[in-house]
Amino acid sequence: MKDSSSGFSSVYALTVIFILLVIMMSVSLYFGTEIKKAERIESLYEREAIADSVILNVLEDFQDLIVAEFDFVQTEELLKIRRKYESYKLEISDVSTGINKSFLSEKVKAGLETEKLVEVKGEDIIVSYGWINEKYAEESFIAALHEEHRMEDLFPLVCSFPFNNVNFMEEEHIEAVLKYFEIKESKKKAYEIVIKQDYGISEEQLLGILKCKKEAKVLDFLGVKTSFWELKMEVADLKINAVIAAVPDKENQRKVNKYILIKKNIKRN
Amino acid sequence: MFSVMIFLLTIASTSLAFTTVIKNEMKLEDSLKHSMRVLDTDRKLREKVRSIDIPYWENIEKQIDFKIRSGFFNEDEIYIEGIETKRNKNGEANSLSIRWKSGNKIYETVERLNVRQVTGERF
Repeated sequence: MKDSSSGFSSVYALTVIFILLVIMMSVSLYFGTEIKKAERIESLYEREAIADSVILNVLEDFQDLIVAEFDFVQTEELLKIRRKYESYKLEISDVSTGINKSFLSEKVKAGLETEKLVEVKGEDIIVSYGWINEKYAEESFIAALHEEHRMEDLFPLVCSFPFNNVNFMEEEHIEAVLKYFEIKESKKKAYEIVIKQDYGISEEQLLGILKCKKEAKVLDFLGVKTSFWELKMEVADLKINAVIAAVPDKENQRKVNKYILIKKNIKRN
Repeated sequence: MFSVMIFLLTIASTSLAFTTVIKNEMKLEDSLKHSMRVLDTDRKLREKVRSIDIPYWENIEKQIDFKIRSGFFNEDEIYIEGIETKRNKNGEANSLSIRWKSGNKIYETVERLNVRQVTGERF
């Protein structure tokens, strides 16, 4: 006959072992979660480093654009960049052609009838990037810049690189600029420029259409190169938004000397 | 009688082993928690630096000084010892170094700024 105490002790032993197992499991689960969290942070750092290097590569490739006589949708150098980074869903857009309200004086804005243009074309015509031309900016704005920076340091922020690239301009905007500078047949000339946008307009062609000299003031507003480009990409599950600026040549400020990265924003998808 | 002795011995040795394991795990847990806190703080500060959005026509160093003074980097439970603007070889302010304290140790987080100043001698 069996002793009842042997059965009694094994039930206790089993219970103790079970409780220990539960405790051990919860502890290992806790550690598992913490390790996963650490791995997530590590992986984010790695992905951000990849994103950073992709941006720098695009910037390096952008230097090829310096030699392009004019920028338009089909510029070979731009197409090459788009093709190369196709897998990152790269989108490149001109973000400086349009009306930059911050950098134009009230007098110039009134002359260009900017309010009317915004009414007709919508808010999309307003841009927030561009270089500043002292001749057309509000005096108080320039004075504030002089307080912030040393006078000799203001280039390229203050320069004479054209505000807009005609290859990306709206017809109404071109017409408003031509009217402001009292160019004859502004409507006809604006239309002539717009219909040539698909093939790209060079500086020479622009001068030919406008029938003006290289020194004409209207060319402060109309150029064939873009000053600020926005890049949108998706790299390693991260959304990248970056802005590249064309730094003009100090001697010939209608020409681009180099492209620099002025802003980047990397966000988790 | 023998089985009771075996049971007591098993319980005693298991408890001893369990206490040792738990003690070590508590130590490990503390160090893991500390490491996670350090990683989290570093991450928070990096995100803070990356979130700085200063218009490109502004003087970045002046704006950052203003942000430091207005308590932009202050976070609960992060004891910031000092913030310094780092420059690249061209003398351009391009990153921030934040020294902060956790426990008795001082750590340093260095993160690149997402914005760039477009004025200066280098152009």
